[in-house]
Amino acid sequence: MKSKNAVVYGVNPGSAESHKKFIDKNRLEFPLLVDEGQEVARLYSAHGLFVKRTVYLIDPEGIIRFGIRGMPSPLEILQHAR
Amino acid sequence: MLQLGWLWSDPLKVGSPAPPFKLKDHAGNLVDITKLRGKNVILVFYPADDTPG
Repeated sequence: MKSKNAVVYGVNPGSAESHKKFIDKNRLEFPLLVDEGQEVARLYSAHGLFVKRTVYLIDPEGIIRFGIRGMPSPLEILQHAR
Repeated sequence: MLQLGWLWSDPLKVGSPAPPFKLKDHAGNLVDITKLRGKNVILVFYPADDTPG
């Protein structure tokens, strides 16, 4: 993903502590953001009883170029990168 | 009355500006999305740390 000048962030309501454990367990290469109260999930229409699994690509000008529920492949996401 | 609009909500529309936000990462660093202009930013929202995504 880095080759296309892209950065990845996971966002969920978990605590920093649970994030750390999750990153270690899954050897994630991207940072996780702590979204307590689903405030940012709400801004991005991903909130609910549980956060809805949702992926966005935001271009270098700050415009949303891709937004989908579920788990698209990295290739599918990066097709929309600029 | 219960707010149930989220039940059938859609993701934000392509072509609209990404809402600005600042959040801390797991290490306590503040991430301001408006400071990431010039890069493609992929945001992955998911429910909990035991449901990988």
